[in-house]
Amino acid sequence: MPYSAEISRTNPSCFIFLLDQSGSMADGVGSGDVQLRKADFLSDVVNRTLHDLVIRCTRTEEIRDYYYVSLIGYGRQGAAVGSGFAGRLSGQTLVKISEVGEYPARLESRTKKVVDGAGGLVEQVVRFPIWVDPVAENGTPMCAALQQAKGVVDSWLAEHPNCFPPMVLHITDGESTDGDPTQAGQAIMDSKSTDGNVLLFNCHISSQRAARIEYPNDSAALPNDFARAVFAMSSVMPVEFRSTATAVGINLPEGARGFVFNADATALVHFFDIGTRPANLR
Amino acid sequence: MIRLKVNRFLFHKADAQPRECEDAVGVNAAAGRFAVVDGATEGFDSRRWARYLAHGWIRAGACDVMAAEEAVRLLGGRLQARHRMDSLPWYLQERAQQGAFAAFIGLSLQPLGTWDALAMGDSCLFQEGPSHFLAFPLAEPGHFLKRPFLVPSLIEQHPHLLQHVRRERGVSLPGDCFLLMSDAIACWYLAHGRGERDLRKRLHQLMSDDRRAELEGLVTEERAAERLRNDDVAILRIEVLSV
Repeated sequence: MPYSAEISRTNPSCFIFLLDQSGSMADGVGSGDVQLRKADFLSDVVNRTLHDLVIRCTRTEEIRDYYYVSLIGYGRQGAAVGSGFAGRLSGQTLVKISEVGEYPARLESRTKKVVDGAGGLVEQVVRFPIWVDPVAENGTPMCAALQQAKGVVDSWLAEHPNCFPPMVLHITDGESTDGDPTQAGQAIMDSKSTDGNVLLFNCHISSQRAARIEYPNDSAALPNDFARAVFAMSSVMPVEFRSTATAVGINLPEGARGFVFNADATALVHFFDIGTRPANLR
Repeated sequence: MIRLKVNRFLFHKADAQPRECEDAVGVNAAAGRFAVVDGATEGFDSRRWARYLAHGWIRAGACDVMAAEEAVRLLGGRLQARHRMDSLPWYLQERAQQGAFAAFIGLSLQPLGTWDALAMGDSCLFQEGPSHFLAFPLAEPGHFLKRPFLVPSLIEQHPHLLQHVRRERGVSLPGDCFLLMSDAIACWYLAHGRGERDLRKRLHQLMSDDRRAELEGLVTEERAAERLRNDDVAILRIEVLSV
C-alpha cells in the first residue's frame, strides 16, 4: 500500500518548501486591522511550521532525524533561486531536522496564551525561532525553482529509495515569469520511492477578495488557465492526510488535489498543517 | 501468606538504543506491589517519569485514586525541580513546559490473595487461571487508541486528566498468573498471544523459565511478522504459588 512507510531515523523522509519571494509578495494579505505583507505572513507560517516539525521530532531529550528539510526561495536579488535559510544554515540545500532545531538564525520573543490551571488563560513569553526572513523582490522564476526542487528530490531518492515519499509544498502568489511550470511540476510528481510518488502540493495566496478554492478534485470550476495549470501539477492527496484536514474542518473529496487557490491567511496555515502531518511518524 | 514467583522483562524498540527505552517496571515482591509504566516519547523526560511512577507505586502503601493523585503531584514536582529551564535549548523548553506523560498499571496483592489495581492509559493487567481470564483496563485489541489519557507530570496543567484513573479489584487463587504489560505487547497478547494455544504455551514457558534471549527472539519474530507493533516492551509475570 503506498504512503505506508514508517518514518524513522533509519528511514527518514524529506520536506521541500518552495517559497515565492517575488516582488508581489510585498502586497497585503488579511483584512481589517491585521493587514500583513504576504512575505511577512509566509515567513511567519514557515517559521512556525519548522518550529512544529522540530518539536514533533523532539523525543525525550533530543531531536531525532525523522526528516530532512529543504527551503528553496525564488524571486529576490542576486541568485534568483536558492536556499531560503537565513543565519548559520544560509546557503544549505538540505538540512537534518536536528540541525534545523539547533541552528535557527535567531530567537525572537513572542507571547502565547496558556491555561493557568485555575480556569483562565495567561500570556506566556516564548522563544520563537526564525529560520527564514521575509523577502519580496523581482520576478517569479517558478520553472527554475521547480527544477531545483526536482534536483533535491532526485538526490534524496537515490539515497532513500524506500522512504515515505518526499513532500514538496509550494507557495506562490502569481504566475510564472520563466515559462509554463506544468512540465517541471509533473517531473516532480513522476518521481517516486518504493512507497509512492513524490507529493507536490501548491498553494496560491491572494491579496484579492476572491473566492477561495480548496483541495478541488476537478478543474472545471477553476477560473483561469493559471489555476488549471497549477491544479494539473498538484498531487492527489493520499488518505493519510485526511484526518488532519478533517481536524481543521476541511472534508477532502475523493481524488482531492493538494491545491489551494486564492488562499487567505487561514487557508495558508491549514495548508501547512495538512501538508506536514503524515500519520506514520514513529 | 501469599507466595509469588516474579519474572520481569524489558525490551527496547527495534532500531533504538537500550537507553531510549521509555518503559519501566517496578517490583516490590515483599510488599506485593508491582507496576508497569510506559513513558510517552512525545513528553519531556518521560523515561525518568516512568521510573518515578513505577518506584513511587511499589514504595507506597495505599491503592486509591486520592492517594495516587497526591503521589503524582509530589513526584511531578520532584521531576520538575530537576530541570533548570534557562539552561535548556528552545525546543526542550517547549517540551518541558508541557511536561512528561506515561501510561500506568499498578497492582497490589494482599497477603490473603485479594488484589487492587489502578490504571491510566493503555498499559494492561491480565489475570489468568485455569478457567478464568480478566483483562484490565482494556479487553480488546481494538480498544487501544492512538492517544490514550496518560498520567501527566504537570498535574496543574491537566487538572481533569486523573478523572480517567480506573480501579479494579479481585481475588487470586493458587496457580493464577498476573501479566502486567505495556501497550504494544498487551495488544498483541489479546490479539494473538492468548488465543493461539501453542504460542501462549511457548510464551509462558519462556517467561516462567526466564529465558530472556529466546523471549526477545519471539518479540523480534512477531515484530517482523507485523503482528506486534515496534514499540518498547515491558512485561511483569507474577505467578501465585500459594495463598
